[in-house]
Amino acid sequence: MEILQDVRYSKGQFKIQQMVFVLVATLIFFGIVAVLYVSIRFGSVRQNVQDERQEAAIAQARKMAGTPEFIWTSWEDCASCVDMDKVFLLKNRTSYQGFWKDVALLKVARVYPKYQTSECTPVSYPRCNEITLVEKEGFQSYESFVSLCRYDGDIEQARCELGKVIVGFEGVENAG
Amino acid sequence: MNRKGIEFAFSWIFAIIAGAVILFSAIYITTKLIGTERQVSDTLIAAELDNLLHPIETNLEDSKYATISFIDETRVFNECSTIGVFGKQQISTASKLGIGDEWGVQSVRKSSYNKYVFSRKIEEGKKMHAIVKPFEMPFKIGDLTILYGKEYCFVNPSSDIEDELNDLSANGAQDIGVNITSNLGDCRQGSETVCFDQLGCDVSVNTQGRIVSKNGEDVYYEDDGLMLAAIFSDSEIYECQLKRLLKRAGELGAVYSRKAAYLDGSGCSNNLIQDLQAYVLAIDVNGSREFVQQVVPLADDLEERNGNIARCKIF
Repeated sequence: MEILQDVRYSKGQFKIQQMVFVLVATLIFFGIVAVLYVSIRFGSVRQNVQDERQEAAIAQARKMAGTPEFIWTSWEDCASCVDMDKVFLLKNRTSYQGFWKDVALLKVARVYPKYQTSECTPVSYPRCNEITLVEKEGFQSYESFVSLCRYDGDIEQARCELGKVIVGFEGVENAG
Repeated sequence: MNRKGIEFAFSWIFAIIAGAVILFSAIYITTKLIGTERQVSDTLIAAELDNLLHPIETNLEDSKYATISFIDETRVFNECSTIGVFGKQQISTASKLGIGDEWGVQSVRKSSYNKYVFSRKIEEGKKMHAIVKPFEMPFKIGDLTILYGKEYCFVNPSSDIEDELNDLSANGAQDIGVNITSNLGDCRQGSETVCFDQLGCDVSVNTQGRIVSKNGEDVYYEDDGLMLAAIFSDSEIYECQLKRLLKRAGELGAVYSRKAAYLDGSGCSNNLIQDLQAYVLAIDVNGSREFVQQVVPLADDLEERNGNIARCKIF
């Protein structure tokens, strides 16, 4: 009985094997190229989306004081004056939840004078420093200085103080 | 038996089939990738277009003008929905690259809740014109962003409109895509003609009845801003955007009503709470006709009453 059999391949079988190897190698090469392309392209698209969101946040920070929900028109026309009373009354309105969908942070903050209470509530208003309308996690923010105006019963006229509008956008890494 | 001949034929057939499969796969994948790339690029254009509309919003200005230029011939799709508290504005684009399909696939839509773009459903061109006018009823509600890519010819417009367009074009130094003439025959071929108080144009404006007629449909307007918006947009888009503006007016009216109550409590009497509440209730109208008939008189009354308050105006 022969234990080891003498295996012989024809020249044609060798050629087929050779071609299969070449084909597999070609497919692996194309696969690697595709993976490389997709990772580079996705990185570039991610950067583009990040830039686009950043541009939107900067543009909105600049123009937010002029929007109907923020603008102060009660006494005299002022392009960068924010109506504090109006913004405060907007704070807990459920209808406005989702209105500023493309921003991760929207806040009005007093710069000077500062009070002890940070976030404004119906009890602390107007002796408070911040009114937060939108706040999600993981944002980069931009600020724009404005005048925060409101009617002051003590002096029986409008009072304007230095403040800022803060608008943040959600980074692509944090986007769910 | 001729073995050499069989071996030669097999290797050639195998190589041709394998080569063809690889080649066709490569062509197919490349075509798909080009399509996807175009869509990604068009989506970014739509997002950038939306971003570009921020800086041209008005603060205290009466109107603003901007030109938006695209690298390639571009279609801008304007979709409007009144569903939800504030409705929704969706902008998407498709570009023409000259290879493959004539127009690329429509990009992903960029939604916004606080913008109001008045245009035809599909605007086309390498250059778009944007006129922005504030909409006040009686307080500021939003900006009317009038977007158009075609050339327009206004025949005998009112002096107010003529002055406004001259201001926007810096007395003709800048091409705003609108020519003004007193004779319909002087309009350039291919331009959209707009007649004021006369017939024979693509769009007719009845300044007495405050009606803009286009493609057999009538829409109603109140001021020059809405008139321009009605001229440059499809009636369906106009009615939808007006409805969205009125929804926002209702929400703002409710905020002003609360402000009136707050100021009243702070010792600043204004007697506007009930008027503002009535305004909020009346704002839910069907169409521009009802808007002109029901909302405008209330808004005028509200403006007058607020103007008469000496110390603490609400808006």
